[in-house]
Amino acid sequence: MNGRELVEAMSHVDEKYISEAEEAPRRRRHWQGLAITAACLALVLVGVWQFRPQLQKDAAPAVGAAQYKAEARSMEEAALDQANDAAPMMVSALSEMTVRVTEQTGEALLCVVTDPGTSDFQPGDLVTITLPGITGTTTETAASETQAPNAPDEDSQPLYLVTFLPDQDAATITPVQLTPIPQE
Amino acid sequence: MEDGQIIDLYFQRSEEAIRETEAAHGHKLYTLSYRILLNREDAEESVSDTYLKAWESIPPTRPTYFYAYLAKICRFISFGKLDWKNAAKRKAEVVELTAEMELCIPDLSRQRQLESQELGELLNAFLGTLNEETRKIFMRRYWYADSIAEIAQRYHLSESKVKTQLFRTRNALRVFLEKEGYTP
Repeated sequence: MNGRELVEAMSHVDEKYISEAEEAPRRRRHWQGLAITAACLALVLVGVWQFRPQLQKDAAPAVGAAQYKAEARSMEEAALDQANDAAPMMVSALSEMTVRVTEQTGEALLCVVTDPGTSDFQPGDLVTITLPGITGTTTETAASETQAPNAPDEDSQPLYLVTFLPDQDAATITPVQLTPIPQE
Repeated sequence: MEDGQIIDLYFQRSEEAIRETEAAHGHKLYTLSYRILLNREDAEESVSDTYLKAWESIPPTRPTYFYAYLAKICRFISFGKLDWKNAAKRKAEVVELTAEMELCIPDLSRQRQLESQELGELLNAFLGTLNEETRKIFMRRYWYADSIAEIAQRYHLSESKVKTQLFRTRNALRVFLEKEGYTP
C-alpha cells in the first residue's frame, strides 16, 4: 500500500461522511456572541452583588448621617405638626371663668363665680380651687395674692381668671392656670 | 427539484432525471472531477459517465445521500482516468495528497497488502472516531481534494489551524492503522 492507494481508498468512505462534509458550514450565529456578552454582564452583576455589603459599609457614614438628619428633621416636623394640631384642641377643650376668692384654706381657695365664661357654672356658684395644679409665676402671684381673701371688703377680694379642664368635679377645681385680674 | 423527486424520476425511468441531476449537482461534480484530473475534457467526461452509472444503478439502489452517491461514483471514475505521471508533472493537488497520506502508512517495509475495499472500511471506522469538525476537515482535504486555503475559508479557520488539525489527524490515522494490524 502507498499514499496513492490510500487516497484512492478514500473513495470507499461512507456516503454519510461525504454528505456531512459537503453541507454548507454553519455560520457563527449572532446569538452566540450575544450569549457571551450576556454571560459576561451576568458575571459582572454577580461580582457587584457579592461586593455590595462592603460598598454599603464604606458608604454608610455619609449616607447614614444624611439619612439620620433627614429622619430627625422629619420626626421633628411631625412632632411640631402634631403639637400645632393638638394645641388648639387643648385650648378649645379648656374652660375659663372668672372667680372672686372669698377665703383661703391651706392650698384651697374658696371662690364665688362672678363670670362663668365658657364653663358650665352659674354666677354666684361656690367653687373650691386647689392650688397645687397651678404652675409658673401665675401660681406665685395667685398664692401671694390669696392673702387678700381675709379682707372683709368684697371689693378688695381678688378676681381670678381660672382656666381648667371641664371634666372635673364641679365643687373642686384644679386649674391649669390662675391669672389675677387687676382691679381698678 | 428536491433529491427525492429526482430519484423518483430515475425510478420512473424518465430521462428528465439526468437533466435534473445535472441542474442540481452537475457543477459540484465537475469541480470535484476537475480537482483530481486538472483537465476540463476529462472532467466533463467523468461527470457524464457518472450520470450513466447513476442511470444504470438507480433503481434498484435508492441512495440516502444522493449527491454523496453521485460524488462517490464521480470520484471513482475520475481516479480511473487519472494519469498519475501527468498529474505529477502538473503538480496536481492529488499528488500532494498522496505525499501527505504516505505519512499515515505505519511501516512500508512490513505492510500487508489490503484490498482497496478493505482499506476503505478501515477508513470508515477511523472517521467514526473523529469529532465532526476534524472529520469534515479531513474529508474536505482527502476526499474533495480542497486546498488548505479553501478549507480555512470554508470553516472560518486560520490556515495554520487547518494544517495543525490535519497533521494531528494523520498521526491519529497512522496509530489507528497500526492497531488494525498494519504492523506485525
